[in-house]
Amino acid sequence: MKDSNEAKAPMAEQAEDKKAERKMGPRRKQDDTLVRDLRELYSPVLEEPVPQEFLEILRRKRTVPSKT
Amino acid sequence: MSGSPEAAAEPLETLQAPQPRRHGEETQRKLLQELEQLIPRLRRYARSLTRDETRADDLVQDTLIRAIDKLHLFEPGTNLVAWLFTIMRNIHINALRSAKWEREQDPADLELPVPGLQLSNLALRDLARAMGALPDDQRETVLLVAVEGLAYQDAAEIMSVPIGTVRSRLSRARSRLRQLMYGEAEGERGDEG
Repeated sequence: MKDSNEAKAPMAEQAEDKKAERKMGPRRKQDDTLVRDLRELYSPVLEEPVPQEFLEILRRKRTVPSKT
Repeated sequence: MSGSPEAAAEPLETLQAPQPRRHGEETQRKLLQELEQLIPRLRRYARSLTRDETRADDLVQDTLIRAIDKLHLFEPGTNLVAWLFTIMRNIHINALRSAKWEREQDPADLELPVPGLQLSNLALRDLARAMGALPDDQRETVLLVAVEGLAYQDAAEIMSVPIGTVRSRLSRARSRLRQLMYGEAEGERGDEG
């Protein structure tokens, strides 16, 4: 009994997803998928360590009294 | 005001040129901190513009130097990302115009919107190729709006185009990406915005 209840939960979620999908239309869903995938596609560069020379540029400015 | 006693008391150099607005030390410290946090996003945008990792980092470096030099012109409370992207784009365009950076690229890299990506996911690989097939202006618009999450108005200002152009570029880019990714015929357009 417990197993069948557990099995129902994902099915219910799936049904909700399909309902939402019908409501928003397949093209809208495609657009949402594209945006999600684009963000994933372009995210690796954000994880790369920042080169020291960039930090050095900022450090130099920090050590110079503000002229601005 | 040049004839006022206050003005007369000022050193000569302050009277000769309009003085930039001064940020306090605390404001400047915060701006530099924000600037540092935005470096990864600057690198991402630079790679999209140049499609070359080395040139992208040169562009980021030039942008940081220019931004720091012009930091007094930034108005706190406005969009720092948009301001930095505008600087970066201007430097990039000037470099292209002066032929400082010739577009000699590996054809394989031209397929990818971000060079050097290691894509194990097939869908993402297809998407990378699809993005690489978009015209530069459309790809840039998609990046600014869909990836960077900038408002249409900010994207328009960065690219120096009317907001309607941002909308139409996005619409065409979406249509093309759907076509390339899902095989949708180019003429099938229903909900373009």
